[in-house]
Amino acid sequence: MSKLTLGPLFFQWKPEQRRDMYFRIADEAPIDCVYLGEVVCSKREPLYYDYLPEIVERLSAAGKQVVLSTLALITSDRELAAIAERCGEAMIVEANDVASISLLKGRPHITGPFINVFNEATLDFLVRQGAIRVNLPVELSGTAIATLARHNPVETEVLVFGRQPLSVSMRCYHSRAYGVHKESCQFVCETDPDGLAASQLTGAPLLRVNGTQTMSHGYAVLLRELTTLQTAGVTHFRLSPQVADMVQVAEIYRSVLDGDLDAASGEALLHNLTGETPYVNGYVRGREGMAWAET
Amino acid sequence: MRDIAYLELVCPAGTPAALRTAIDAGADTVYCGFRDCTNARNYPGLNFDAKELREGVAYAHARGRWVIVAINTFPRAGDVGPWHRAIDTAAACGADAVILADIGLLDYAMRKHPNLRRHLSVQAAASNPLSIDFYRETFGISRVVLPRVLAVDEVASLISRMKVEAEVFAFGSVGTMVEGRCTLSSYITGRSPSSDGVCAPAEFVHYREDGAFMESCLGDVVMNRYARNENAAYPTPCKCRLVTNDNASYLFEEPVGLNAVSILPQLKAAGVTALKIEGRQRSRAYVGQVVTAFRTVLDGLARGESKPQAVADLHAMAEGGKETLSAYKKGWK
Amino acid sequence: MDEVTFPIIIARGMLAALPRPVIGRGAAALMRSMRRHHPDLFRNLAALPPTRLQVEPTDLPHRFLLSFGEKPASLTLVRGDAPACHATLKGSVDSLLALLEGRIDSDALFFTRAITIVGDTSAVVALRNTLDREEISLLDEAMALLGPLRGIGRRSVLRWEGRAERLRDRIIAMRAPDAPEGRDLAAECGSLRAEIETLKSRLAKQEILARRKQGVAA
Repeated sequence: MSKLTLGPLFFQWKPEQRRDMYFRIADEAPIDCVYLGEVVCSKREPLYYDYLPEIVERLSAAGKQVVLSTLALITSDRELAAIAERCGEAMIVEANDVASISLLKGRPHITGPFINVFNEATLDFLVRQGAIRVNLPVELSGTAIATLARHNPVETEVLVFGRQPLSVSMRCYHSRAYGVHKESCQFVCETDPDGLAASQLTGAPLLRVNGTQTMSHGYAVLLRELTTLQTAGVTHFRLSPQVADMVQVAEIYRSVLDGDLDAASGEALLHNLTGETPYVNGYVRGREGMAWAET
Repeated sequence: MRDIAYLELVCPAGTPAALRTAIDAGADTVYCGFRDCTNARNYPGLNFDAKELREGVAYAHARGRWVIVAINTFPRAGDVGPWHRAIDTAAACGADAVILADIGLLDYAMRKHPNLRRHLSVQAAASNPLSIDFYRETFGISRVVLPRVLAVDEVASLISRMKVEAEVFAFGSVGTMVEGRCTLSSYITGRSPSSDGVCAPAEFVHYREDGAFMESCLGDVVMNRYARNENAAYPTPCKCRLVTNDNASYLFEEPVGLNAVSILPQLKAAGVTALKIEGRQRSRAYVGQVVTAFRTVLDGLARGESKPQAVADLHAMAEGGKETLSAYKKGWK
Repeated sequence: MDEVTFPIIIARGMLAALPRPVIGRGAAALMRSMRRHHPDLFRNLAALPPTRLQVEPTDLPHRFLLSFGEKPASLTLVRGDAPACHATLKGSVDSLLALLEGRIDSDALFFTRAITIVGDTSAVVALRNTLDREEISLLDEAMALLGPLRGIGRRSVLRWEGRAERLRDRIIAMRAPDAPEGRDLAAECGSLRAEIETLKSRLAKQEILARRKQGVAA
């Protein structure tokens, strides 16, 4: 049966806001697996530990698989130590950098969407290393996803809801936008729990900045593709946490996955939850990522 | 054992003519790619076929230099053939190394051509000793091209803890995002450096005159607006002007070029093996000028002499007329 | 539309100096010679997709239509309305010739706005890259063909030669930081900029703190 997952929270939320979201997910959402852990910025990591044990406990008690995600970019000794610690946990870990894969080699783990899996040979290699679930990069077309999912002997996961992570950097654009130094940023990213809107000079929105990460302005919404992806062998469908009500988002996706709701109706319901934010599905259609095609 | 007294100069060639120009100007190594999506500079009219590569290798080898081939995009699912052929062809033409990023390709090259040197492309974004060691142990890489995310002291610290050669970027157009992990170009155009070998492909670029201004566009997206007398840079997504909180700025990076000429002694002291000049898409005239200047500076460095004229030439050639030390400089982040 | 066809190659040098019929005849001869000496260039140009570029030298009263891809490359003098084309290249004759010859880097020219492209930029990039593959001495080719006209040709060519050099110097001069004697303006700018950054940073932090106190999310 198709599984619904909640990806790691990319944004810097206040500890209470984060805790409340996860508690609600634990208590109410039809989600099978939840990824926890700071993926974007190692400076935020210490803040992430607030309420983490309570969150893990509540999710586990609710019968959800809990996965620890690792940082997408690792350069410093501090970051190496952090991933070493996380990879040493008894819990299953999602590797978002080759460094983590090297630590997890030989034991079951999940590879995250920041690992470049574009073809069968790379996928086979990761499975030989111990991957039991492979997240595919957001950039892949539906054709490529289908080819890889069919080929994949283990589980395949694809992001089907939320802002798409488009790039990783050493530089913190949040700090740059607010005119502060990264070293003394005072977590300015916390002022934008939905990311910082970056528009074209014409005023048309284009991207969202989240610290060192740059994301799509639009939400990827692949409700219309779910059936095709299921048929192709995608086993796990990832929702990326946004400020929208994730419990209701999960309910809509669950219903469409189960065939209890058609995609168009699901989309109409989803629009009530996501306000003005436009939807994108270009990548999966083999087009520019920012495109939205209804047919 | 690497000879720490010498900095190898690795230079770009988009065409056979540029290869000869670079060699004549003093390049130790020239890197190039094939005329397809297997390399990260897949631009119209650019790059080599097998015959041209074979001739280029002969030209370089006759002068004691190297030619290495970038096959640094990620093969498409169900279509790995062109990438395998590219590696086979590079080996058959006598190339001295291949530059690879994809795990599957590294695996293929190691098994099929164990004696062909493998360099890890910047597209693989190996930015820490653990990752680099993983690629060395698993795929026997001899060299890593370091991602442009590290300050000079971090480069030194990393090199002291890795067992392969380090190549670093010294000059040219550089993005601010971690390479191999940026899809801004495909978000806007559908084509990306990782899969198609192009960032902001020229067929999506257009300039629109708007009264006293000119707009540079990528696809339907306005990347920048210039006054008549302002310099217009190529509309690369990470160097576009964006509005945040009602403030228009170069949010990611100004349209500047990397120029590390002022820190060559530090890079040398850090244990860097090779300096890379970016620009396979640039003309052979540009390649000739940059390589000549770098050769002069490096020869001077080896003898303890400064070469102010060559340094000035490099300043003048930086992208957009403006230059940066990028991540090498503390505080850039 | 009254058109006189001649190869792109001859454009350099002789355009302004020679009468049109002479250009036509010389062009045909040069074309034959070029094709003999540089089969690769013509093969490479022919391998490109069919392309029509309008070339507008801003300091000449003429516009040209440059065609390549499939058919042999040609340059057509245009009169009247602009023909349908993939892109328009605008710039001074100096810049355009320097670009086509690969003597000055096209990227550098774009940066300084010496040349502007309206339309399909990839067509122009493809042309430039293809021309850059060849090491051609156009001057030698043209001179050998000019015969009795050599004197006029050489004079005009030398004139272009000088202009291109001056253009390059100008580009470099535009980039060079102003450094009046006795003052290190760059250093002064740097320290002022640093000071401004510090102040901006301090201000921004205050704003953020203030905003947090009010409990307002951006």
